[in-house]
Amino acid sequence: CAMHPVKQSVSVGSPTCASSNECAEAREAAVWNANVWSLAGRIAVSNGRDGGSGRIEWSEDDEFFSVVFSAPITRQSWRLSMDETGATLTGLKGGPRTGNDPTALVREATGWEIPIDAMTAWVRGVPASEATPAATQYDALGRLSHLEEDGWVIDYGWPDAPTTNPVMPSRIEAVRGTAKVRLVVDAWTLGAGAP
Amino acid sequence: GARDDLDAFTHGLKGLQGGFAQTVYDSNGAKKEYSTGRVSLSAPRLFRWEYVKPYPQLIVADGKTVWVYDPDLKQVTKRMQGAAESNSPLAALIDPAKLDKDYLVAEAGSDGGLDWLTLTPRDKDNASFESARLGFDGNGLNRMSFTDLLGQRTEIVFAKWVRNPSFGRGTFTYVPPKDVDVVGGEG
Repeated sequence: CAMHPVKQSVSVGSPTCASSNECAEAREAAVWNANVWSLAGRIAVSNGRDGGSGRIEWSEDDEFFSVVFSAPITRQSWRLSMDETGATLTGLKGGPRTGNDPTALVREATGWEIPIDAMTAWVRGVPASEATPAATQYDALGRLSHLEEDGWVIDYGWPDAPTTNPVMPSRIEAVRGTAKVRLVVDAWTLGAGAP
Repeated sequence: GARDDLDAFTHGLKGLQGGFAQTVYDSNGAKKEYSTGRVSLSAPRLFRWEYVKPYPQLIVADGKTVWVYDPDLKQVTKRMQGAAESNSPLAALIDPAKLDKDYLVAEAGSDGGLDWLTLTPRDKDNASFESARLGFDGNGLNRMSFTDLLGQRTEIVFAKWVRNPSFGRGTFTYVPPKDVDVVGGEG
């Protein structure tokens, strides 16, 4: 994709950003610059009573977003595709469902509460909205360790040996009341390599 | 043909234990997952499916409840043992009468050194896959593959089958550890 002009080039990950804040800003700028990415991992969803777990792939290909979930053994799978025109959920009994609110589509089809739009940012270790979130904490390397936004409390785990630049989270846990979404990321792909 | 292989394989079969390697291909045929582990089956409804690599996951059906334990996710999902399991071609293996009740079974010739059967679920609505294929060699079931409703194909190769083994105590029972969330899954 076209190179975005960057005021001063900050190479994130290597120690050229001096403070946690500076590294955080550089990292978040790099994340928002990368609009082709994908993660493959595992997700557990629960509302304190019901829930489920399985394999998940979350990806963006230049404003076209996709979330694919597969459950073990039964391979109950669903795919959520989103772009600016709306969201489509396929793979479940009853045929495709379309709508503007992907979170509602998943909730109606599966009963699970996954804040899709916000999590599309949270999984990349950045707050979802420009407006200052309720609370943020960063570690010494400028990586988000704790975030509170839209009533959710999100805690992060980061890889010891990052495989991407910028570094991406290896563990995300979002809780709101009894709703809990726990994600372990097994592989990140940034840039053209993304599917 | 394959049907004879199946009947020979399931004849007098009360229990089965072996290793498996599972590969999942996405709808374009690209490989997206590879995992290995062990499987145990005991007539009529008990099974244990244990992924070992690349990360652990345990699925136990104790006849009443199906438990799915993801250690890394610290969550156990439990649900009534019912439609979802009976829909797995593997479960039908140790209950041949069920095979014909739940599936249209057809010979699919031989290919790659295996004799193949195709299984099409009779109850389309409840099935989580469009069709499955069972491949047999001299030792019985060698390979199982099925395609889910997103066009993702799962290919499972079995090895070192032990017929009617004596299962260790607790093979088909599961008690969640203390520090995990235990949630109900859909049926």
